[in-house]
Amino acid sequence: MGYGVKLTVWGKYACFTRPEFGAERVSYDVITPSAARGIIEAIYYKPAIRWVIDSIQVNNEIRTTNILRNELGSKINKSKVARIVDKKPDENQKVFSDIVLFQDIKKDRQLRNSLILRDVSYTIEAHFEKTKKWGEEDTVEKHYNIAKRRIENGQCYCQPYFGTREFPANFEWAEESPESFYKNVPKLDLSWMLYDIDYAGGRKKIGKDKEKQETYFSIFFRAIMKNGIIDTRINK
Amino acid sequence: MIIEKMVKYYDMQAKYNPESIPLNGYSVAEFAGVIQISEKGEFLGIVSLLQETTVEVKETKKKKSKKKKGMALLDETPVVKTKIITKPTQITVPLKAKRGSNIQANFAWDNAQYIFNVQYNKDTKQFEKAISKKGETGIWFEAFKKLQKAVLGDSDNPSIQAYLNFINTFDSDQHFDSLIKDYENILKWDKNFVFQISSEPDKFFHENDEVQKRWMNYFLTNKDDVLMQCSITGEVLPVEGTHAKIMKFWNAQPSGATLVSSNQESFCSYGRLQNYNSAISREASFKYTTVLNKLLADNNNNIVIDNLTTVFWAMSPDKKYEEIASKICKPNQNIKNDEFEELDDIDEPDKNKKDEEPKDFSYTKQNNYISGLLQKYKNGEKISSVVDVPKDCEFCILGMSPNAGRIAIKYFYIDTFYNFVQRIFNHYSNMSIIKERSYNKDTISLWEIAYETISPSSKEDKPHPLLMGAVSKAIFTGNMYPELLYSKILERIKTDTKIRVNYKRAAILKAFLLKKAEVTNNQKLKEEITYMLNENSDNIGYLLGRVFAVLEKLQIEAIPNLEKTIKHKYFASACTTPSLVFNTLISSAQHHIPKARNKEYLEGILQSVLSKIPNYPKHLNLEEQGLFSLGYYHQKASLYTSNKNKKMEENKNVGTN
Repeated sequence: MGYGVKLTVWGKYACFTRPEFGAERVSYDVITPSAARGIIEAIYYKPAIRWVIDSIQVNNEIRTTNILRNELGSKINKSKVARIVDKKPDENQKVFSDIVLFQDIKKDRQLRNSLILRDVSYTIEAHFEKTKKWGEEDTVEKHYNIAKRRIENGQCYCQPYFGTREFPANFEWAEESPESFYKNVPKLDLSWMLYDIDYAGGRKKIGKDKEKQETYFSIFFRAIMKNGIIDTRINK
Repeated sequence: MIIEKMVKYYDMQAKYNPESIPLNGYSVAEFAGVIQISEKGEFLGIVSLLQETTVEVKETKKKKSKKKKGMALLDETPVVKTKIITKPTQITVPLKAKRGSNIQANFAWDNAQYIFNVQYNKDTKQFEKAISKKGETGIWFEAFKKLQKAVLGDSDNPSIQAYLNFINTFDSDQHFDSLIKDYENILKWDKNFVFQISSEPDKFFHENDEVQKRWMNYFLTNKDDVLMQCSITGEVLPVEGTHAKIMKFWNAQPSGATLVSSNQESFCSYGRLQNYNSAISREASFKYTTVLNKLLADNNNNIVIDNLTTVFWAMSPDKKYEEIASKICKPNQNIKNDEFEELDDIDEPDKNKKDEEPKDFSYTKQNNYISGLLQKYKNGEKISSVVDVPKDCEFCILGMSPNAGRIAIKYFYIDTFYNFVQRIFNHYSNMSIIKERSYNKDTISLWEIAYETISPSSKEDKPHPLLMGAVSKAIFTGNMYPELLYSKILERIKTDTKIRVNYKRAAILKAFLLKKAEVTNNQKLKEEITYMLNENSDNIGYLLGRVFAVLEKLQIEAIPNLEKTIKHKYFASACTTPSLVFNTLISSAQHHIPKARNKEYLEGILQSVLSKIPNYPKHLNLEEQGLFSLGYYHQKASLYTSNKNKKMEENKNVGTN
C-alpha cells in the first residue's frame, strides 16, 4: 500500500466509449476507473508500481453533445508492416516494389456519430501497489514523492486524455476537493460500468470453431454516486 | 444505461402484460399465407392471410410535397373517400434466423424462396426459379429441410409425421407452374408462409405443444458458448456473437439495421471480433432487440421526423403514459384512422381571393385535447391536475438516426413523466402567437418546424441533419433552442420574397427569443415579446417592423392590384440596414396617404410609432432583426382583424405570454 494522491482533471470534451456502442460512440456518463488510471499513468509510470483508483468525484454537471466525424473503416495489417520491415533491398535498390502501405479515405470512408461529454471536471483519488518487478531500490516514499512533484509541476510523458486521444485533459494537484455539482443528491445510480481490463487474468479463448481468438476479458462494476462521489474500491 | 432500461422494460412487460410481448425464443414476423398440408403429407394449397381494412382518406396532398401553387383546394370542398388497404398479418413464430448473405432457414415458417424455390423478379415482373450465383438450384430448400429434421427428430405425433412427410416428398419443380398461376396475388407480396396440418384446423403447426417443446430444447442448447461478464446485467453468462436486427427503422437498410455492431475492422479492439467487443449476454440481447422492434412498430411509442427517430417508453406496465405522450408530441395527428395522416395546412390565399375564406373547415380541425390543455397551462393551472397520472413514473426518451446498416444514438434522457409533460407544454406555450388566418393551427408540430427552415419551392432540399436532434434536445431538457434554427429562419425570411413572415416562422422566432431571455435572465427582452401586438414596446427593431407593416398597407390601399409591394422589394434591406431605406419609404408613403381608404387610422398608428424612433440605425443585429420580423407580423395581424375579433383574442389571453 502506498500513500494516496489526489488530483483534479478537467477538459472541454470527453468520450469514455461504452463497449457495446463501439461503432457509433456513446460515452459513459462519468469517467471510468480505466481512463482515470490512464491519465495518471501518462503523468508517472514505472514497471514497479500499479495504480489503483480509490474514488472519483464528479465536479461538473453531466452534459452531452453530438458530433459527426469521417473516419476510416479498416486497419493496416500487422503482417504487411512486418514484411516491409524485414524485406531486404534488391540488387537494383528497388525496395517495397509490391507492398504499398497506405489507407485511402475515398474507398474506406465511414461516417461515425459520437455522443460525447462536455465541460468535464473530476477529482481522482488513487494509490499505487507493488508489482512483481518491485526491486530493492524501490521504496514507497520515493515513488510517492516523484509522482507528487510531477503532478504539481505539470510534467507528463504524453498529454493525458479523456478516453480517446483527441480530447486532452488538464491536471493539477488538489489538496482539498472542490465542490461538486451533485453534492446534494444522496444517490444516483449509474448502472454497470467498465472497471478495467483484466490483464492479470491473462488471455482467454473466445470465438467459434475456426477462429480461436484469444483476448483479455473486461470487468464491470456497479457505479453508484453518493453526494457526487463514486467509490471504486472493489473486492476481487 | 440505454440497453439496461430497455431490458428492464422487457422484464416489466413480460411480468404484467405477457401477451403483448414475445417470450424468449420467439419473434414477430409478417405473413401472407398459410400452407395447407394433408394428414399424409401432401401439399393441398395456400390460404391467404392478407387482411383488408377500410380506411377513410381525405383528398389532400401528402406532407412532403412542396409544390403547392394556386388555390385549387379552396374552391372545392374536401371529399372523404373510403379506401381498402391490404396488409399481411403479424404472428408470433419461432425466432427469426440471422440472415445476411448466408443461407439460414427458419423453423416451421419461411419465405417463398426457401420453401418453393420461387423468386419474384421486380424488373421483368415475373416469377422465376431461384438460382444462386453459382448456378445451383434448390439449395435453400435443402437448408430448410435440414433444419426441420434437426429440430424435430423422430416422433409418433401425427402432425409432426405429416410435416416431415411433406418435407421429404415435396418437389417444387412439379408444382412451379400451378403455384404461379393460382397464388400470384399472395406470392407477389414477398412475405412469409406458415404451415397448417388439415387434421388440426384451429391452430398453426408451430403452435402445437409437442412442436413447441422440441423447439425450446433445440434453442436452449448450444455448443461453443463463451462465458463473459455481461455489461448489462453484471452476471457471467454466455455472450452473443451477432445480435438480431431492428426492422422498420426509417431510412435504414431494408433488411434491418443493428444497434450494437462491430462490422468493420477499425471498430474492434483487443483482438475481439464482432459483438464479442460488446460483451452483452444472449438473454439481454434478445430482450433489448425485442423491445426496440416492438417500440418501433407501435405508433404510440415513436415519432419520426426526417432522419431522426425518437422512441419513448414509460417504466410502468400501464399503457396510458405512452398514449398521453404520443398525443402530446404529435399534436396535428388525425387519430381516427390507423394511418396517422398529418393534417395539411394551406398557403396564403391568392391576392384576388383574399376576402374569401375557405368554405369547409372540417379538415382543419384542431386537436382539441392539446388546445384545451394548453389553455389551462397558460392560465397557470398545474399540469398534474390536468393530465391524470401520478408524477413519479420514470420516462425514457431515446433519439436515433440511421447510418446505412447501423443505428447512431443522438440523445437519451431519463426523467419523470411529469417533467416531460411540463417541458413540452412550456414549448407549446412559448410558440403560441396570434393567428394570421383563421385556418392556422393552434399547435405546430416538430416536423413543421424542420420544414420551415428550407425553401418552399425546392423539391430536394432537406433540413440540416443535426437540426432536429438539437431542437428535440432543447425541448426535452428546457435549454435554449439551437442558434442554427434562428439563423435559418431569418435567412428564409430574407430570401422568400412572396412569403416573408408567416404564422409558423413568427412562432419559431418568438419561441427562440423568449427562451433565450429566460435562460440568460434578460428581463427586458422577456417583456418585449408578447402573444399579441405589444403597443408599449420601445425596442427599435420591433418599432421599425411595425412601421414597415403600416407602410405596406398604405401602399396596397392606394394602388390596387399591385403585383409587387414594398414587402417583395425592400423587406430584406429594411431588416438589416434601415437607414438606407426608410427615408425613401416614408417619403413615398406621403403619396399613398391621400388615396388610402383608412388614412386617419393608419396615419395615427404611423405617427405614434414614429415618435418613439429617434433615428434610423445603420445596422440591426440578429436579435433586433428577429424583433423586426415579429413587429411586422404582429402589426399586420392586428391591421387585418376586425375590432370584434381583437377583443376576443384579448380576453382569451389575459395575463399570459
